[in-house]
Amino acid sequence: MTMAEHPAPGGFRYIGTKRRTKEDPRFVAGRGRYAADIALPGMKHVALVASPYPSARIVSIRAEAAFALPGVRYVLTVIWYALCGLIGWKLG
Amino acid sequence: MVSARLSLVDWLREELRLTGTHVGCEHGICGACSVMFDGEPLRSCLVFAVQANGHRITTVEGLAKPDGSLSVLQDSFCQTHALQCGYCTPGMLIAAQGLLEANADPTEAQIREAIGGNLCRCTGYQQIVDAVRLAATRLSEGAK
Repeated sequence: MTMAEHPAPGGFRYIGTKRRTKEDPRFVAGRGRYAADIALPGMKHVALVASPYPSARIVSIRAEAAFALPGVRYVLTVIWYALCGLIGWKLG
Repeated sequence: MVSARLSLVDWLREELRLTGTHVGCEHGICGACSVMFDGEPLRSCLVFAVQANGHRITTVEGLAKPDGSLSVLQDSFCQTHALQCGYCTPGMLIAAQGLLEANADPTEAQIREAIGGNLCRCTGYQQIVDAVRLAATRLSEGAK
């Protein structure tokens, strides 16, 4: 099908005409750029840890074992965020 | 040296940086990670990279013509608006490619069967079926 086969009923240039989508070619070629496709220098990855208990009180969060893993740069907890907020420190 | 625990899709995406192949469900349900494996569609999240040793893999990046222009199948997807977000598209293209290589003139039912293992969550399947049908027609008419 071509655009010529679909003349616009109202004589419009775009409205009512069969048109191709501008971004489709890169998606069908595997060149879309989704968030997971982006790799920046020094980029780090996040692993979220949810509570294993459906209903419980957080008494403490011990991060020693996580820190001991190779490649772990930060273990962020709500306490950590609160401290960063107080002193205005940003992740580097 | 490839880690024995690394899946084929992670190897393609992280090591080769071929990010056209997508990771959806990571357990073989959605089909977004499909690649051609010795000429047949295969879910690259369900095999380890080391299992592909010695086999011929084609990803969505390899479906285009040698000059880089879109294949008839890829162009047909654009023509019938067979994608919106495009996340399932690489897997759909691989599934359709596998079908057309085995059956040059598939019926609508055969197309639906062939893409039955691929989930789309936005376009709906009709335009995808239309795209594969259009590609089959174009190819039978000698389109290159």
